[in-house]
Amino acid sequence: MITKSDWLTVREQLMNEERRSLGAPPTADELLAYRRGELDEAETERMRELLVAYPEFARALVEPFPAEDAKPGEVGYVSPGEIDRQWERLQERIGLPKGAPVVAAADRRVTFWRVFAAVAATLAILVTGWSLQLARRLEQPQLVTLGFPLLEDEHWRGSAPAPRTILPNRPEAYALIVPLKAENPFVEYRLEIVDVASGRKLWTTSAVQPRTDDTFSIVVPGRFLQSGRDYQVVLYGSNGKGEVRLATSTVTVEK
Amino acid sequence: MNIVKNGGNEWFERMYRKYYGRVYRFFRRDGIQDSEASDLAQDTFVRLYEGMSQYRGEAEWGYLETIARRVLFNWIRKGKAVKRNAPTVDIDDPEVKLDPPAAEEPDYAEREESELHCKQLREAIRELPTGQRGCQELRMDGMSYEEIAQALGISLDAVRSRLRDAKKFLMERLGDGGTLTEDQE
Repeated sequence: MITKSDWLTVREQLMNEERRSLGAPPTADELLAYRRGELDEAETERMRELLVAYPEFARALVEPFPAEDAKPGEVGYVSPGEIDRQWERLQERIGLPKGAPVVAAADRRVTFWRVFAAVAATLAILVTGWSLQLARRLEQPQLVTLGFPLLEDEHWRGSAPAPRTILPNRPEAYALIVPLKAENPFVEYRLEIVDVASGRKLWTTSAVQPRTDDTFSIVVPGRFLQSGRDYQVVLYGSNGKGEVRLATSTVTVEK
Repeated sequence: MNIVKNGGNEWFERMYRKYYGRVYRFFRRDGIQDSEASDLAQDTFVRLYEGMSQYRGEAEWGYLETIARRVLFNWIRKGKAVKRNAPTVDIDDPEVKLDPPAAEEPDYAEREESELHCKQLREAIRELPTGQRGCQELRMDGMSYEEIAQALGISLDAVRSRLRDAKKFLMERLGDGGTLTEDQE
């Protein structure tokens, strides 16, 4: 009776024969090309032989990619603390500036709405023909229409410097208005504000859908922006498949 | 879209925080141990960072997956892969004895019989048509029908058909000993 051990022994013997006959294992480029269906018939046939001779590559080729992170207790789980630790290690390895968490952890953002809710402000902002209605306890925020470079083909490819907007010094709040191209295909948008000098990200919005007139607006409490400093307002678009960085506008607070 | 010109570091960190868990999980699911998987995940993001200027706005996850698979293929090529079925022993396992008992005397008759079976099986498999042989060998490695289909770029039905034909041929050549029993498959 042929045993399982006999089968494994024979498999190993055949594999060694095949490897001697075929030579070196496939390269990463060849495997990825095969995976994309870019090889011709002869190359494809040879790749199949190589995958039989080197089954570890066959397994690596078909190993599915996880659609989500592992949960605690599952193999492959990594804690938020470990992610931070690995990030520090990565920063050292590639020479990124340390100590300035440019991005907060994914679920941490400056909830300026919490601040603004404390002063009970609700804003609806219109530009060029809209009516602005405010319900708040503070004085009216400074309206600022941000200048973004013209968007081409859904992405910003302009080489000109980002336009600069001057903000008056420290009002209670700024209402930043983002005019979008009418044909812009993104479903949702997001803004981030980054301090230019330090590179530190100060604040990020959750996803916002544009109004019917292709603009959206956000309100930033004045205390987030210091006089005499430059800030980048970065616009991101999302269409459900992923997020794309679209454009940058620079704002400077007067001294 | 020029990531580098548009504040690449912010994009990079966002990619890292969004996908590190999945990339690490990918490497761990391939049976790689924790520290090695962490190193491979790091390698993946280093490659992402170094290639940022080439990113043209493709779907982020697919882009990163390609990099991670490349890292895995190169790691395997360096001979770092461990056989999936290789037995491992935990050195701290109290059951592991430092002085194992002497091996029993070999049963020469049993060994000769096994060598004969292996010879017959080897020759029989060599006679299989290429398509059947490939499926049969990958099946002997423990790959599922679906995995074999995906690896060889053929349909599931083709895999079933080839394995069925291979089994029939081997049984005819070797008798009942020519197939794995159900619990061996």
